[in-house]
Amino acid sequence: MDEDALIRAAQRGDVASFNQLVLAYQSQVYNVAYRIMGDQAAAADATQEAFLSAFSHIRDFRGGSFKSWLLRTVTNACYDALRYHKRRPAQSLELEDDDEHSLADVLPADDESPADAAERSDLRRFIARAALQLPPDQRITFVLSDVQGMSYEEIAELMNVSLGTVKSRLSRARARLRDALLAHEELLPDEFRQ
Amino acid sequence: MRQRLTEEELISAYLDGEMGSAERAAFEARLTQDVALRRRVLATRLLVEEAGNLPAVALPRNFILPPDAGRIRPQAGRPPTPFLRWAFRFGSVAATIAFVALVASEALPPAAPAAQPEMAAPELLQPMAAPAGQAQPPDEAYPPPAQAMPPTEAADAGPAAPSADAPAISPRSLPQAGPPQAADAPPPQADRPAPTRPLAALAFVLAAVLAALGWGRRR
Repeated sequence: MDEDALIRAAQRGDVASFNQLVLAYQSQVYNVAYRIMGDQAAAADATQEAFLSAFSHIRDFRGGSFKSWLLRTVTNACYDALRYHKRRPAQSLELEDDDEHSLADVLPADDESPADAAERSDLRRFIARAALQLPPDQRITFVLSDVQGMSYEEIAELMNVSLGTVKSRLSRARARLRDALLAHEELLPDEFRQ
Repeated sequence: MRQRLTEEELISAYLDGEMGSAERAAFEARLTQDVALRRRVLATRLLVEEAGNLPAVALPRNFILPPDAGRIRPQAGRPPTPFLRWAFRFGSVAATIAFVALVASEALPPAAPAAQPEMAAPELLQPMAAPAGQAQPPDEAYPPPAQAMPPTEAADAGPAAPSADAPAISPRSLPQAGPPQAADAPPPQADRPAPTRPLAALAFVLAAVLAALGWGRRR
C-alpha cells in the first residue's frame, strides 16, 4: 500500500495503517528527537508523544510532505520537553556516552588510521554535545539542516518561520559551534593547529 | 555585531552554495587575503561535514501504537466549538485584567478614610473650625477624636497628627464627617482589605481556569 493510501486509511481511524507509517519513519523521527534532546529516554518520550499526537490530528493533514509534517510534530514535542526540563534543571540532558560510541563510528574507514578514526569520533561527540548548548531555536535549525540535511525551505515550512529566520538561526548556530571547536584545537586536524 | 552576523551569514551562504557567481567570486577573493576569515570558513565547513556524518542512533524500541489507540483520545484533534473558542479567549483576557487589578489593589496604598479627622492635617481643618471666641465646648456625645479613639499608627507616624494639646475640632464642623462614633467604638481598620480584592482574586482564579482549559484544548 502506498503512503497516500495509508494516510487516508489512518484518517479513517485505522491504527494498523498508521503503524505502517510509524515503522517507515520512526528511526528518522527518533534521531531528530535524540539530536535535539541529547538523551535516550527524553527522545523516546518525545517520539512516542509525537506519534500519538500525529495519529490524533491526522485528519488535519492536508497533503504535502508527510515526513515534514511528522518532523514538525516531533519538533513541537521536543520544544515542550525542553520547556519542561528548563523548569526542572536538575534533570540532565547530557549525551549518553554509550550512544556516541557506535561501532561504525569508532572503526576506521578504509583510508583512515585508527588514530584518525578515534580523533574523528571525538570530534563528532564534541559537536553533538556542543549542539545541546545552543538555544532551542538554533539547535533545532542546526539539527534539521546539518544533521538531517533538510533544505532551508523545508525547515522554514516545518518551523513556520521565514527563510531569512532560518538562515539567521543557522548561521548563528554554526558560528557558535565553530568558535567552540576552534577553542579546542586538539580535536581539529593538523592544519587548524597554530 | 551586525557586521559579524552579516559575515556569518555570508559564510553559511558560501558553504551552502547560496551565493551568486559574482558574490561568490568576491567572497573567494576575500578568502585569499583574510587568513582569519579563511580559518573560520574552513572550520565551519568541517563542522557541517562532521555534523552530517553523525551516526544514526539505534531505536530503543518500537513506537507503533496499540490497537486501541483510536480510543485513547477519541476527541483529540476536534476543534472547539466557536462558542468555546470565544469563551477561552475571553478567559485569557479576563484573567489578565483581573490579575492586573489584583496586583494593583495589593500594591496601591489604601485610601485614607474621610471620616477620620485625626488623619487630616490641622492646617487644612483650621478654617473649618469655629473662631476662637465662639468656640463651643466639646459635645459629650461627640468627644474630640484624639481623646475618644486611640491614635492609629498613621497618626503616630504623621508629623501633622494633632495631639491632645491641639485645638479641639468637633467632628460636627466637618462636612465630610461620617456618622458619630461612640466612645467605645472599635478603632477604624485602615488596612482592612478592600472588598474588591477577594472579588478580583476570585475572578482571576475563574478566568485563569477558563484560560487554562482553552490552552489545553489548543494543544
